[in-house]
Amino acid sequence: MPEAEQHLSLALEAAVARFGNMVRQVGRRYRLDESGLDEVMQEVRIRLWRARGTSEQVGETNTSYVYRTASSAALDVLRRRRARQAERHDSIDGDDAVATLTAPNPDPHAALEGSDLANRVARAIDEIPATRRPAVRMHLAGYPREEIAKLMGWTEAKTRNLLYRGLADLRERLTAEGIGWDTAGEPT
Amino acid sequence: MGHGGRAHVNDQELRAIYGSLMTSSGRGRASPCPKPEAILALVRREGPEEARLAALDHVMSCADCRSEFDLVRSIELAGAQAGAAARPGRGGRAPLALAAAELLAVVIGRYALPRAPERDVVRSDAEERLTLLAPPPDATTGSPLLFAWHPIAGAGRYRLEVMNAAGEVVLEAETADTAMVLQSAADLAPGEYQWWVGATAPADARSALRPLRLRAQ
Repeated sequence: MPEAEQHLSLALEAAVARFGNMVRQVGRRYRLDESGLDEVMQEVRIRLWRARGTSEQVGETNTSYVYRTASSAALDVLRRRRARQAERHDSIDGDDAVATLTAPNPDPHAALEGSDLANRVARAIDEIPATRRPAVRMHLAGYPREEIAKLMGWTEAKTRNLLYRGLADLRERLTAEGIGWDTAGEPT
Repeated sequence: MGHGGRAHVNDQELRAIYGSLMTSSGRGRASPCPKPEAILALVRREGPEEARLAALDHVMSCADCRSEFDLVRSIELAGAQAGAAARPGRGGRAPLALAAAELLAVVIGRYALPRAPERDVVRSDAEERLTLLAPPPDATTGSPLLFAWHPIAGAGRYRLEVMNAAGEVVLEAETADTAMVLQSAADLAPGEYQWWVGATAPADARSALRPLRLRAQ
């Protein structure tokens, strides 16, 4: 590889690695599935490499450029993943599905009870008014209140209000489903 | 607990049950998976709130979409952290506006602040009080606004938010000082707004929401 090209390659790799590390650092807080990120960063490398010589920006690759490339590459990666999943679902309509359904369960009675409880919880959540339900879902998924506020652009007061009311709705609906809910305190 | 009978759950168990519901893919459910662009719009806070809420509702109930959401969100947050992306919901000019506000805050905060003892009601569960000073509840559009408040012991920084009548944040800024001039307030349309200030760590205090009515000049 000529020296200039090698230099460019190293610069690209350094920029991509730098941004990838930043995403990983942020992602650790959100239980990011890193295999998805690896796929995106690989796509970024390919795009930047293909663009070499045709884009002046590549010569002076910076974080901003890598970010923009990553943001657009992520959408393509997601589209491809969905297409692959759709293909897989189509193929499961065959014998594989029967094999899964007939697999032995170590404790069928417990599994049935667990699944019944989960179904009742799911029903209770689904009945929460649509304006409050996403906040409740985020809370149950373990996101702190500040994250909900930040994501939706809500004030702390609005978030708190929606979440409290949503959790009150949930309690009411769980009760109607025959589920008592012992809460430890206010959501954080 | 029998099938369909009474059951008791605590917070941890409820979250575990929710987690088990989340392990399955939501694809094929009644609510269709939002497009990747809709997930990006959710993360960037773009588009109407109703659409973002609908996307979020699905994302938080579908393992596949949640994983996609976390990926997109991490990339956007890293971009914002690197100064390469606008913070969600703020548009590209926000960093400049913030910098200008902070610069002015240093000058005005030191020399021009009225220290009138205008008390304000504080949030009931806040241990420390944060008292707002300016602007007055009535102001005119078309000019930058000076926001000021009393300092609070132990506050590292202060965060200011201005919301419109729908409760949406239309302006936000941070400063280490106790005043800032928001140039971008000059662009606000006439109408009813509310604003508040919160102190960040190590102190934890917030002001009450204060009304702000902007009239056309």
